[in-house]
Amino acid sequence: MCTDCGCGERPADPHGHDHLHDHDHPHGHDHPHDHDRDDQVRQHDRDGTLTIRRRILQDNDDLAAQLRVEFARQNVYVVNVVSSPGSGKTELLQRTMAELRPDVRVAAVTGDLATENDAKRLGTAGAPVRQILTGTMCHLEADMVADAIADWDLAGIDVLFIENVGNMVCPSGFDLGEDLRVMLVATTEGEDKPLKYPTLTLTADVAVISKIDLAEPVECDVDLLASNLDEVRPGIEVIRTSAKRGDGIDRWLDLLRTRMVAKAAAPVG
Amino acid sequence: MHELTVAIQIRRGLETELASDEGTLVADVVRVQVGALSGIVPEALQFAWPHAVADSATLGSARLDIDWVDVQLLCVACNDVYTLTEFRSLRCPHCRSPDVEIIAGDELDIASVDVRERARDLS
Repeated sequence: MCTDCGCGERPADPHGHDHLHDHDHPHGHDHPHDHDRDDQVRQHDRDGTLTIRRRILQDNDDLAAQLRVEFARQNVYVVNVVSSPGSGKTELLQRTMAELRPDVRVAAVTGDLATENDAKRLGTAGAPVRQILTGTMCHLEADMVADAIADWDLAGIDVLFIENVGNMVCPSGFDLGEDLRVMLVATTEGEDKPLKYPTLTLTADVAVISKIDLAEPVECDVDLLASNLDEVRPGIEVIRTSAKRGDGIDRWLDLLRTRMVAKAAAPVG
Repeated sequence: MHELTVAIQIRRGLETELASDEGTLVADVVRVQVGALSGIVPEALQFAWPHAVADSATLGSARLDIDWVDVQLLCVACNDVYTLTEFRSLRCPHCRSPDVEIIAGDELDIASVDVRERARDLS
């Protein structure tokens, strides 16, 4: 168990996480498809065993689905950036927001256990930014994002960046309603990082290798790092960047712009 | 790494499912399915469980049974299913084809619960 985590203790969480959804659970309900784990059904057996079909993180998944619908309705493209601590999420986003800002209305929420430092850094570009302080929690959940953006006018935002808490394990299980999940891995972390954290690599849509300007001094074989990403997740798009020097940033921005346009053109619902 | 969150979500899920029977049932065994790709460590979840349900009248004394599910890949090229003891790659372990489908191993589900009626207080 992660001693940093203590996820249940959330004294700073004002809304108490009380998802009292009014789901109906009709007994003996038939499933039209064979993958019935997506549904909820409960049947009383004679021996006192209740069969329950429910995902453990279903409350989060339900809220993420609601957020996704709202983001689509308001035409907001949402990017969830996940990596270990110190791999350069804030640096990449700071540069990305500054570069996009002349013609794209950007906003960001950033999750950290403590301090507002990242929000201050991201805010230097002048875009709306909100810090989510998770206290002891090692990842963001959909309700934290929903709370953070509750008073924002989404109609005035084209792209929302969500900078997750630095962690390569926990965020992978939590859908935040994003369109794009970006996994960041720095050359300073070593070539085998994708192999060590296959679950996150599996859930990422795009991989960004950061700090390629440091590859040489830390003796990182960037080709090997890229091929390890492709080994876990064959065909994953890999972008090699240095947010400091500017390498790969154009390609990264092109990818974002292309995906944004594709989403805007897609029918809602 | 977030097993206490997961344990609490199991409790909340069961409280939702059992809401109509609130206060009349006691659970003895809760069964969950945890896939190898879920990122959950069974021992840590087991450790967190009693803390998550300590003050629950229904679940407070329930044992947690964790059904661990290995990753199974269906390879379209081989037309065969492979069970992996350790997930390393989304490629067929036999022919290396990337044309595979995960058919098991990403579970994080509540499966069932053994309940009995709470003994009536006759005093």
